[in-house]
Amino acid sequence: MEEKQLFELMMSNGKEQLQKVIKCNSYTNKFGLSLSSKEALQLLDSRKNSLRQEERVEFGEGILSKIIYEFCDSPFIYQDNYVDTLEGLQEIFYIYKNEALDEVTDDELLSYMKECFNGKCQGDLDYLEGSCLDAFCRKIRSEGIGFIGAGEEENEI
Amino acid sequence: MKFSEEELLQVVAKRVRKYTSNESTSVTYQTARQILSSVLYCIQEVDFDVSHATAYEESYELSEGNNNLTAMKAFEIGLNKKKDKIKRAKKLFASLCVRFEDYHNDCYRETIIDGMKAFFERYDVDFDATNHLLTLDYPLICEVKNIQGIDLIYEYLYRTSLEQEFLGYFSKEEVEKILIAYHRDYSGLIINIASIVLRNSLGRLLTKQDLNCLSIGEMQRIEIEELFQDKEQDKIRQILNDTLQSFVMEQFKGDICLFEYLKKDINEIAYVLMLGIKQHSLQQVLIEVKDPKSIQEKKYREGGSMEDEALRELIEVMKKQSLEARIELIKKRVKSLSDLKELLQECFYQEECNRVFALLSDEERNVLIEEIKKKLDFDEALYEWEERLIYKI
Repeated sequence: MEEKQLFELMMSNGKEQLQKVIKCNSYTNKFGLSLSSKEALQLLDSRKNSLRQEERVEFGEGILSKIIYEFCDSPFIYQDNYVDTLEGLQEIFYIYKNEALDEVTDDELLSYMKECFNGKCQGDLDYLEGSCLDAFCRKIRSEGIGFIGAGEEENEI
Repeated sequence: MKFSEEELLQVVAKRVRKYTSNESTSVTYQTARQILSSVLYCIQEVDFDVSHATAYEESYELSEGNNNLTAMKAFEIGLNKKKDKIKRAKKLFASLCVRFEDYHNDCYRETIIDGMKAFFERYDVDFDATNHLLTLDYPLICEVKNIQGIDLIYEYLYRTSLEQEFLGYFSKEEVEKILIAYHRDYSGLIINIASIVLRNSLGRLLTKQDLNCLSIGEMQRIEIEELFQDKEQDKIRQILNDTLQSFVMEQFKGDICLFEYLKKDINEIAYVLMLGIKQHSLQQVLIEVKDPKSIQEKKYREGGSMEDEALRELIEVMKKQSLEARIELIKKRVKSLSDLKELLQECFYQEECNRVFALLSDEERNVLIEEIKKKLDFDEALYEWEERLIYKI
């Protein structure tokens, strides 16, 4: 079996994943956000593609639920842009796990992404990806994990 | 033992979670590949027991027992076995270090002493078990092939210990004479020392010479030529085998492992002897020590050099000191010729250099002079101190 196929086999059962994502609705509803089954499947498909592209393998329940819980209270996310934003955040997450050479944990990266998204990026995914995270990962690669950019002044980056 | 892909991947998934300390939900393909290889490598260890059991009953029992094993259990057993092997390899390395002789060959020392220390510090049997980290530049008589990780390292150390056992039979001085006669700059070459010594020792044995000396002179070469002249390579090989066997039986208490290992070089030795005889170039194969004085130069061993910053600081201090104070600092602080050369360039002028030269031993002086001669061969400009030393100004 080809390596990519083997690694894709590693990923959790699709049905399980779907249930977990739908379950998030019970929390996100209070922020006026919810996902239909179709939208959840779309996100899970997008997850597969992103992982394949970034040559990463995901185990267990994956990062999508965490992204949902982390960002659902963002002032820049509402029902109309919910799916697209989650898709974008998921993709950006995998890209920057690679860029940071896996030196940051999931929680550290998500925390920084949220701070920037809600702060200087004002909900702009392109700015988040192209500017803030780029600088963040460069710092990590050159200075190591001692540097975590969360909370730093803008002009330092 | 056969495990399904799903079973194996469950083990890998669990190992990945441990690898990331549950702090990452994903890893790169490279990491997953590395962990998968480690899992398979450890599981193979259990399979190995079954396939290498010596008695039928033992093999049956192991096989029956192993058929009830889950992939996870097989992995855990295999991992423990690998960890045991690491302990055994450390013991083997420790005993090797006690009597290890590098004969001033840099590659030998760097591969065994420096390299193996680094291996034991950094080898990751849990998550990167197939990566043995080292390039193992020093070539053995018989290279270790088709194994990885700690298995490879253990086997490499074992073969090294056999070669050291063989070499330990001869006096260090004789071995070094042969090596210098083989090539003046053998210290910097990547060569197998045991093989060179084995050839000459077999030559000595064939011509009924004692092994207190390893040199093969013209008379012995003629004798060997006559002995092998009209013989096929197979016959030459047989004669060499028999000679080696008698030698090992008598001098190494019949150590079969040592004999079987050294025997692996016999094919090659037979071939080069045959070629040497045909081309009348046996002196390239069987070494003659012609210049006994050359051993003197090789007794020098460079001491530890200072860190760049420390050396710079010393230079700055010395520049402000009197000649006597500078000489005292050299005596106390300088342990290597490379540092001394820097100080001669920066801190000593004209006749002052001669006071520094007076501190040198014959070996140190000879080493510096040889380096200066090489510069002259390449028409390189000499520093003032170099001119003073070589022209004895």
